[in-house]
Amino acid sequence: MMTTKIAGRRRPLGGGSQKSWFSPGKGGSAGQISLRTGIKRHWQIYILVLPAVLYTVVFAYGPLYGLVLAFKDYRPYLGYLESPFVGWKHFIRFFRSNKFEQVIANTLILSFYQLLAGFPLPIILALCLNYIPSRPFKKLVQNITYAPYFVSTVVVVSMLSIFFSQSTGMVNNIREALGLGRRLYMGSPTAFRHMYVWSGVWQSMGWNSIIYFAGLSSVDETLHEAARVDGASIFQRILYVDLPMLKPTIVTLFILNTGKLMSVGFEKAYLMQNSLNIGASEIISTYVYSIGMLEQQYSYSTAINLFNSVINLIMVLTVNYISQKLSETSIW
Amino acid sequence: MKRNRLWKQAMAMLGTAVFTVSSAAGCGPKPQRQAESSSAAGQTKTEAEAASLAVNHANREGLPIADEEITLVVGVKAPAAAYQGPWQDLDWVKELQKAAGVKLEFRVYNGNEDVNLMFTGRDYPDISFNIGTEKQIQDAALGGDVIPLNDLIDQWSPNWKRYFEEDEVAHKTCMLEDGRIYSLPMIRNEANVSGLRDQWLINKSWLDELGLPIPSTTVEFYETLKAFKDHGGQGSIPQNVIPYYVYGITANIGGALDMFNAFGIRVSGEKYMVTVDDTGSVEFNYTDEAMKEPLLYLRRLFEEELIPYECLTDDNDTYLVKTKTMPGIVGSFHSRQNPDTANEIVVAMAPIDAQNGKKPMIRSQGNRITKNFFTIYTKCQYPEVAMRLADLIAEPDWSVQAMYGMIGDTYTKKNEDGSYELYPYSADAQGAASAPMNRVPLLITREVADRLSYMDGSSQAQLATAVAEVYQDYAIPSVNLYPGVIFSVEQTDRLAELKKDLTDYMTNTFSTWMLEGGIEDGWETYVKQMNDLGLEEYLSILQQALDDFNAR
Repeated sequence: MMTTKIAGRRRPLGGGSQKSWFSPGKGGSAGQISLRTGIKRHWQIYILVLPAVLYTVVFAYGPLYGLVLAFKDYRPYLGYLESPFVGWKHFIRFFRSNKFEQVIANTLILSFYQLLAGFPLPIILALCLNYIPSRPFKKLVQNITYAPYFVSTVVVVSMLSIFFSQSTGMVNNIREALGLGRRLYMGSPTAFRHMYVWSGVWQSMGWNSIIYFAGLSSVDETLHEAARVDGASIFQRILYVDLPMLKPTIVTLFILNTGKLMSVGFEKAYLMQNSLNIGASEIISTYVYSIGMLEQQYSYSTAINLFNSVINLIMVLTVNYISQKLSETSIW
Repeated sequence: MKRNRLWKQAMAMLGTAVFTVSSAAGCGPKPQRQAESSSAAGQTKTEAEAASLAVNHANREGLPIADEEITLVVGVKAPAAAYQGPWQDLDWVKELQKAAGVKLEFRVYNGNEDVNLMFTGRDYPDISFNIGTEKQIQDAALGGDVIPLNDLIDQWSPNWKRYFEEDEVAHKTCMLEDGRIYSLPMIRNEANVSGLRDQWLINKSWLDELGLPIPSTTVEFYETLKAFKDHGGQGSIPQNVIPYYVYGITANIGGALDMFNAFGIRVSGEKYMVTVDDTGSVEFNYTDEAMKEPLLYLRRLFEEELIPYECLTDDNDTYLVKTKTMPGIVGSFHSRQNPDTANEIVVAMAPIDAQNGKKPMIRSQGNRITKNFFTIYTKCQYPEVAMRLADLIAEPDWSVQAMYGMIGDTYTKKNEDGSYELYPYSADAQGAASAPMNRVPLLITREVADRLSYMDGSSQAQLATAVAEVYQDYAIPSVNLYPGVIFSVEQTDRLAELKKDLTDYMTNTFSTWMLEGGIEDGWETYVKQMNDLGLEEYLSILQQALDDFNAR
């Protein structure tokens, strides 16, 4: 899925020698052999790729038939096929529901905020770490930034409510020491968004920087040497050497991230939700959970999620198209 | 050789299968056919074989239930708390299996998602205890996946038969639209179970230290709370005292709803948050103009920090920790159980009087009957045995032991006159190691409940005394509670959405008012918005379902 088309990669490695095991052998040139011949000749490669293909088919394409639920009034005893067909009923119900605008808006605001805050920081972190000369210090920072990734959501939310507690929380203690009043952060819709996003950044920044860090370590050292000889400062080296080399990775990850815009994680929002901040914390996934799963309205929740996925797909395709035009880097 | 043996085995298995099918009175592996014929076939067969010893391995009477050891797969919910331990390790379960001669194999469902999958995948156990929502049982019944129990009850369960004959309401509540019973309920008629929802508790030792009486009016209550706050750090009142704690405004458990009732406005926090007036109409008093008065009163308590704002965002664990810690940091709060079972430090107080000419009330709950606690699925090969098992659990001894712990064990003692003495245990560790408690189809009738006596110092004794001495006259009568009616699938779907819209908005508005004020200004917008969100439709659905239920 993630085949970044970078110039030069299409040619077989090994300089296109006819003897290479990548090469098609007698009678035929690369790209023209039939699938059957290909499989016969390079079966080892196909076996390597088989688990991934199977996984995708079984767990990603297989369950797609369940989408039919969105257009039916699903009754477990009638099954998928026999349940009465109702067309767009569930979609219309969602569009007309009182919460439609609210949940869509909340979801989009939260996810754009998350993308804007959460996307650049791992890149910056990786670039900074890359220029730290002290190896032990670098390792230390890396470990410290990775660690929060392994803290479970439930624990993170508990930490938030302890740190931001109005009566005993650290944050409010500091505010009081500074002469500011105590505030009920857990009950504030605006604070909800900030806490949600920045605790997420804290958790995932280190982890997400790994891929950039790997990208940076593969930058050809001679480029840096040449830049240094030309008298480039560190900032200039980042700007003219590192970032261009990272660009395909950044673009690819950005495209993939836009595909998740509508599917903000359910757990954290649900755990942080209370009667005061519900105006901001009710997002599509929490709504689906409380109305669909807790009340067994499977068709309705399928319809909402299908709507979600379609929007996500459109987003990915659009961003992919734009990026292809602008930077010639794209997923497809 | 090997092949030969396999063949023999296969034949033997086939033979057993044929035998089982033929003797199962129509309860073969084909669910569809069985659903139609099981009851009818069962009837003719049992009449014919009335004299014989066992029908489909079920002995007509006496113990054990089964004439040879058979296994039933029982679907159950996972324990709600860590102290409850795994199902198969409970003494009650072990003893029940021994007595019944039936082996119970538990299939534990961890959450709603697991149960949803069981019903949608139609992958059922033989029987289930505390599993299944109204809608799930309804759907399964329509699909012929559960056995209608009427005939089985008639023939195999004298306890349930007698009970349904005596308790018309329970019978009506458990019937589905086709007039049949598909799942047995759990019945608990202990005076302290049905009836009161939350006690209104207050710290008596602080009152004594300050020389104050138990407050009886809203004015006195306010002054008492103020005194608690002003004397923080003196005597046994801690520095960081919380004068009054409510777990949110509209939460059924521990919320501030009884403050509304104290002002004489009848409200309930149960599922649909509606009550029934004396003429039988569904009422939703949360949009009543009179609500402004208690809301303003509560807002004042919040504003003067007699109730911490954090109450509005706390989770359940925080509520429990804050209110159940002894010695307490909370002056007054609402809770079903008094953490101070000795009833010396924290005591029950009557709902305060707002002196507005209306009689104060306190919430009660309609959980005498809890539906869907015993279901037999069509794949069960021994429905007769299963029904007799339900009958055995419904025996007073077994039901009491299930709820309160094994007789002769730490907590329960049976006297020769048939009465039971229940020994004190701490509020939470109810008969922990031995009993499944309210997770099995108990049948504790009023008659059995009258035979229970709670030892002084137990939380039940405290609750029973509080109900008898303090709350009896104030509790909302059960006729005013919305009963457990049956909704059609369309009604359920519509109600789910309306309820979420309405209660979310209402709770959000009330909480915001507590935090920021603005009740007078915002009231009309609130009422208008509630109407726009479909309050009328919501009430008409509930009314329709109630009328249908009453007409049965």
